Parts: sequence; C-alpha cells; structure tokens
Amino acid sequence: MTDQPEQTPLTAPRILLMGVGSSGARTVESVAAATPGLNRVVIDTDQKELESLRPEKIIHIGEAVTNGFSAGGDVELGRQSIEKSSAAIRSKLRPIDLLIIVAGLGGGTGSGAVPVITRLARETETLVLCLVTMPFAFEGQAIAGKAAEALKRIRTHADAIVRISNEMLVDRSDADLPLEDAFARSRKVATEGVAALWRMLSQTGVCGLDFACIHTMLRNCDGFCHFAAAETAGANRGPALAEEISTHRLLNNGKMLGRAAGIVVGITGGNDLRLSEVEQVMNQIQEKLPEDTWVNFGVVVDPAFDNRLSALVMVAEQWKEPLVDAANRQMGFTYNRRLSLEQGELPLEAAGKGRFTNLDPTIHNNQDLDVPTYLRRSIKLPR
Amino acid sequence: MAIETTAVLEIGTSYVRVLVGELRDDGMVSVVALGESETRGIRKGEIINRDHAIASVRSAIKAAEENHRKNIHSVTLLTSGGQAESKTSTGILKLVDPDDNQRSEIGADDLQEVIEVARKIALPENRMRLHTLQQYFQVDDVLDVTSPVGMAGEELRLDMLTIHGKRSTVDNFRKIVDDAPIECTDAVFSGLCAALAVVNEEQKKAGVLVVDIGGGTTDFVLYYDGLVQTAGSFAVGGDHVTNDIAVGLQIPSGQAEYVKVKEGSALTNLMERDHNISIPAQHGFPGKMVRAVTLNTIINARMEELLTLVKERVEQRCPNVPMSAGVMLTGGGAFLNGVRDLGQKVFNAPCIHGKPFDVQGLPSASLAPLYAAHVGCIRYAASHHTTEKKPSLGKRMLKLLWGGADD
Repeated sequence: MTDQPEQTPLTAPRILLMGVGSSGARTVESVAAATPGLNRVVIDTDQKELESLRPEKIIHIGEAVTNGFSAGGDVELGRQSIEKSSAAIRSKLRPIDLLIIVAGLGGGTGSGAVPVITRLARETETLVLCLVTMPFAFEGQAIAGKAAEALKRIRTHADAIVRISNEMLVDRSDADLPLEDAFARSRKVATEGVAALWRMLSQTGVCGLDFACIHTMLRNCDGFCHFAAAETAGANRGPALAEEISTHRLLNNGKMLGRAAGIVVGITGGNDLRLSEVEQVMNQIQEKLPEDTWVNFGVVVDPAFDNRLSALVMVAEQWKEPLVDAANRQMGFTYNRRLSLEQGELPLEAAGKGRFTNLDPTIHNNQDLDVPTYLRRSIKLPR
Repeated sequence: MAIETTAVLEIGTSYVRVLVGELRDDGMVSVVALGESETRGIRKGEIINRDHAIASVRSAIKAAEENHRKNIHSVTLLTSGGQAESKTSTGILKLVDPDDNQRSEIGADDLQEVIEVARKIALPENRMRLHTLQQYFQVDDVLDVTSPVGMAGEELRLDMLTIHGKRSTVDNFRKIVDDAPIECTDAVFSGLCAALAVVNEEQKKAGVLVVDIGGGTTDFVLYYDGLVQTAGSFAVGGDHVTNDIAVGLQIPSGQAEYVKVKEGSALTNLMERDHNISIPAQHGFPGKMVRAVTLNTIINARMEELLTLVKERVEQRCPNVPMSAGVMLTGGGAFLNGVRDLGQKVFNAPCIHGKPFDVQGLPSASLAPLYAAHVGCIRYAASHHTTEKKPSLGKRMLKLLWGGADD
C-alpha cells in the first residue's frame, strides 16, 4: 500500500473496491484493467475461482464452511463463511472512507456475504456504495426471491445501492446475444461505472465533483440510485455522448431522467475538452429533468482521455432528508474520524440518549451503549 | 407439615415483583402469592431516586401480603448485580504427607479445605461475591473428576466459578429492602436463577445459554456439561429499545413503550414495507403515523446489538462451547415479536422462550418467562435452606454465599 502518510490529515479519501462472489470477482478483474491505481480486494468462497485471478488481493472466506468450494447458491453458507472471517474484513475496512462493493445477487456468496460486509463497514464508519447485479427473470422465482431478500438486508446498512438489473440491459433485439455476452454486459456496466466514479474522486477536476457531492447524493437518495456511464470518441463525441446518456438502457431508455429528483453528472475528457461539448451534454440532460431537480456536476481532465469523452450519471428517484443526518454530524463524519482515532475520545455530548442523559454511561468497546444503536451505526431510517 | 415459604423480591427497572412460594417435597414449586408494582426511581438497574424506589418496593410487598394474607418478614433479593461478571479460580491442595511421603487418600476434610482455598479469590474492592459455583476437581492428571473422595493422589485441584457484582449497587438495593423495612436474607444473581428455573439437567449437559432480558439489564448464563461455564450481565435492556424508539420517532417514551409492545418487531422483514402504524394521541401528544419498517429498523438494530454483545462475551470467555440445547430467552424482553427469530440468527442455534417447569400457581403459562428468575430463586433459596441445616446451624448460608464475611 502506498498511502503511508497516515499522520497528515490531508490524505485523499481512501476508496476500496470489493468484489464479492464470483460475479463480483470477475467485475473487479475487469475494473482492474481500467483503473490500475484503485485499491481492490476480492472475496469469495470458491477457491477455484480465486486461483484464476491470483494477482489480485484476495480474501478466501469459509475454508471451514464450504471446504474451498463455492457456497452453491446457499445464502446461509455464504453468511456463515463471511462471519468466520469477519476479523480480516474489519481490519481491511478500518482505514477506508468509501467502500464500493460489487456483487451479483441471487447466488450464495454474494447474497449471503454482502449484508454482513455492509454491517461491518457500518461498524467501522465506512461509507458504503453497493453495485449489485439483479438476476435475469429466466433464472427463476427462487433466485429472484433470494436476491430481493438480500437486497432488503443490504439496505439497512448500505448508504446507497445501485441496482443493475440484468433484465433492463437486454431487450427483444438481443435475441441472438450469446449468453456469455449478456452476463458480460452487466459486468461492463459496473466496470464503467466504478472506473468513472474512481476517476471523479481521485483526480482533481476543473470543476469540482468530489467525495462530498457523491456523499450528499448517497445520503439523500433513500437507499437506491440508478446510474449510467457512457463513453464516446471522435470528432462528434459531444452530441454522441449526450444522445447516449439520455437514451441509456439503465435509465429506462432515458425516461428515468424525467422523474429524477437528484442527479450527479461527472464528465471526463482529455486536454482537448471543449466548453461546447460539456454544454451540449449538460443541456441535453437538463432539458429532460424536472425543474426542481438537485443537480451537481463535475468535469475532470485526464490526459489519457484525449479525443475521448466519458460521462457518469447517477440518478436518484427519491430525495429525502434522512432522519439520522443531524446526529450523523455530531458523531463525527468520516474525515474527522481519522483525527479522532488518534486521540480515542468519545464525543462530548452524544445525541439521542433521551432518558439516560444524566446517568452513568454504559461504555463497551468505546461505544456508549445508551445512545441508540441506529445512531451509532448510522443506519438510515426509512420514512 | 409446614413447608417454609420463601419470598423473592426483584427490584427491576420496570416492575418490582414479589413472589412468595414454596418448594414441595416432590420438587414442584408452588407459588402462593404475587405482588407487583411499577417501579419508579430506577434506571438501568441503578437507583436514581431512593424514596421512589422504597415506595415501589413497599407497594409491591403490600400487594403480595394482601394476596398471601400473611405478612412478609424476610425476602431473598434478586439482583442483576450492577453488571455482574464471572471469574474462574483454581484451588490447589497438596495431599502428600511430608512425614511418610505416602500418597494419601482424599477425605471429606480435604474436600472442604480445597473448596475453602478455591473460594479465596481476590476481587477488587468495589466488587462483591454473589455466588461461588463448584466446577470440576482434578486429582493429579485426572481431569473432570466430580467426586474425588476415596481417590488417592498427590495434588487435588478444584475450579470455582465466582459470580460477582458491583458492591455499591448490591448494597444499595439491600439497604432499600432494609428500609422498607424487611429483612433481606440473601442476594442472588437473577441470571443464574432464571437458568435454574428453565433449564433441565439434560439441557445443562448439552449446553444451553439462558438470556434474561429485563427492562434495564440483560443477564446471561451459559451451561455446558452440567456446569455453569460463564455468566454476566449488561446494563442494556428493554428500556433502551423504548428510548431508541422515542428518540428515533420523536414521540414521548410512554407512547414508545406502547408502540413497542403492541406493534414492534425485532425483525425488519416480517412486515410489509408500507404498513403504517398509528400512534394514538394522548396528554398533549397529537398522535402520529409511522411506518412499521422505521420502527422495526430501530428495534432490530438494538436487539441485534444486544444479542451480539452477549454472544461475543460468551465466545470470548468460553470459546467453542457448543450450545446444542440452544438459547432460552426469559424476562420481559423475550416477549418482543421476532426476538426469538433474531436470536436464532445471531446465535446460530435454536432459540426459544424459557418457561419455568414444575411450577404451580403462576398467573398464566404464556407469561411464565417473566417469572422464571423468581421461580428459580425460590428453588434456589429453598434448597439452600434445607441443605444448610444439616452441617451446622451456626454457619449461616449468608456467610457462605455472601462474600463479605471471609475476604
């Protein structure tokens, strides 16, 4: 790991990409090619799968539970496997500010392990963004049920979930699509999304879009958001990109923009990025948006993107002020967390103690147990 | 034939309960009177207003006396001991006679001596011994001996588990009882008593965890191989759930308690996401509609944490002890919807309500987990009174179990 200067409070937000399950592992593999600098780790129960991607940082879970085989679609096995390795995961998460989990739901490891990981992340006060792939309809009701159940559990602890519905990625015209390509397509979407997000956060933009903007979005989107990423090249790249985004499959062929309550647009271009291009993209998107939409956009210039243009759009359909927000601030939000760790002090006046305010606090593992659990773990209360 | 009745007093965070009962010769506990009053002046198992607490104790005793038609003069106090803890100690006794260098046979007096040695453990000044429970003997290299009398060896060891509580808390509770004024014969750990009432020998052997979720505290006792392996207590209980709800939904705590009992569930996926709950208006509170999923998320977070705390503490103290007979929940917190399923998930073991067995006269079978600790305490106190008379009358049980006298 290169981020040695732990003492300076000015370190950039540390991001970890975590692939869970075989589908997540493959996604991470393809993201790795696009973003060499991104910290990543792969977690799976299947030894065979992990061996095929040896150079990655891997955590093999559940040796004792599954004997090195996959969880075989058993959610309970996936859950047990990860619980057994929770210490390893926790130490991995401790120095991280934003955790991006990629996983395919509906199987055993992904559906079983991701809810646990999000919980652990919550305990270490790490922001969590989950990119989960929902199964195809033809995979059957049982798998869809498993995925839905897992999604519900993830939702209690994750800051935001992006659902990539495999079903939305294919349509009638794709009848001849090879199966491998159909699955690869969702992987490609996740890859593009993660890569674009990482570019946004790691490179200083001309027009800022930083961690805080993404965080605002994640906090307010009531758990779920949609996203789309696109890339174009050539002379006509501006209009082409605008067109592609506003008719993107994952945004329901662009119809979702009409209902968006909040949106983050991140544009990446090379040194030859022109104002007119940004204008074209933004105008075309703005046209479709309702009037009172919360819009945040940023532009990043990356020399590697000469003659290319890429955009990442995150759309929230619902916009709600979360209940825990006020308390969140008092509990010390991520950036300050690192400073307070050195000192190891408790917040002077904890919020929400209610009737226990003036009593001897019950301290356990540096936590005041009298403060509601949902505040300490900053679980967002659905309203 | 007059069987001596035992009165048990529990000063809980939500209710003061007095149970009068007797242990009959056939092993049945027969409850003859019951008194209950809402507690005032106690938070998290600690006294915050002495006068209110004494008044609550008095009214509960009065209710029991009316019910019993007899006066209550002495009680056994059930306490969660201000975050009780357990500690294992070992006593070693050399059996070799220095003169003739012969292995000697272990006699009854050797047993007494090793028990005395094992009992002497150093506790911090602010802790107080509640129980000492004898574990296994060890004769030289032979482990897990239950009765070593008659065996020969060089060295006799005995493991003891001491359950100790916070001195100031226990003393203060005793003083309240004394000022009620009633004689307090003994103070016993409620977690242990709850276990005595609900767990049978079979389950004790197989391994069972008893979790008593009260208003302000949660006590637990782990049995395995017929013996208590560890015990402890956390100052977190049902009151915390109520407080979380009051803070989270911004409603008065009375309303929070009401909605917790009536609609709350420790599982978030039991209900439809869009199910709404109306909280009725009362005393200047205008009433409110909340979503069930919001309420349950709050409860779920707290209960999961609480059970996980217990699980972690147990695993830390006694790693790899199987809980084949599962987890038994007692106390008011056990009645929360979905808490058994949550327990099953957290402990990865079957989780059931612990109902006291061999008992007569409880108000209703379904409410029995509430009285588990009391019934266990009657059993405990009665059995100790009878055995205690045999060796010597002068040596009070109080002295044996009640730390202060000999350290």
